Amino acid sequence: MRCEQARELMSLMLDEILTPEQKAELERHLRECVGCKAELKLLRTVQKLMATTEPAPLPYDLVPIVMERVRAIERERTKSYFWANLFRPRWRWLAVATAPIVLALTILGARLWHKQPEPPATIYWSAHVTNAAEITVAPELAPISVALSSLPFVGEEQ
Amino acid sequence: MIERQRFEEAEEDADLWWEEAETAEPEAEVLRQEMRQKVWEAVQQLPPLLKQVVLLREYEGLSLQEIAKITGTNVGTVKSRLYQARQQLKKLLAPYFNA
Repeated sequence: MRCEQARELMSLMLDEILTPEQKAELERHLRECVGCKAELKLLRTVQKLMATTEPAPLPYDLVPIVMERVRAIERERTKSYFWANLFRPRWRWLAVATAPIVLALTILGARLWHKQPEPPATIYWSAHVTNAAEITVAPELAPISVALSSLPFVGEEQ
Repeated sequence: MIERQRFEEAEEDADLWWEEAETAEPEAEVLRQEMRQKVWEAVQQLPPLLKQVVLLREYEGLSLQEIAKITGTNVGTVKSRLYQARQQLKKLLAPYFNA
């Protein structure tokens, strides 16, 4: 057996998952190879040191830090949950039901907007006008001006 | 429990110089504590994936199956990473332990 193979078996040995055949093979190699024997000794020492290491004391402010992190994750999760599930079957009825309502409100709003009373037409009126024919009107109100001209002239402002 | 079993087996190995140290005086405990610190520092230098398996296996004493489940891998991967981690730890610690 080469040392390379032996190293792999050593790792398995430390995890106690060697088959009896592998164990026998490894032991045979270790009897012949001083280097590998020393290596296993080192690895075992390190393993034991690690297992007997006391857990480090927790920082006093660990709980608030962890809780804040948990809340942040929860917020993020809830937010993405909403968007991710909006068009899922369970919530699709909501989208389907809302769409026509939104559409109807939009149309209604647009119509109301256009029906707003227009500002009264501006009639250019001068206090010095003495003749109804002199009343000038905006060009778009030309038909009205004809009607106006047929009215008896009232005169200057009282 | 897992560690305990492992150690009882390790203790059978009489030529562990570390074992000899364990039976010795309080100074030996100081020495061991120093060695633990060295090992811990070496573990911190491992790449994240290797460090992860070492922490779970050696410090937390979890089984390979448990580690595979936690890390979302399989037992083969855990074995392979433990092997790599041990090889790296050996390189990092050999100068210190042989000195």
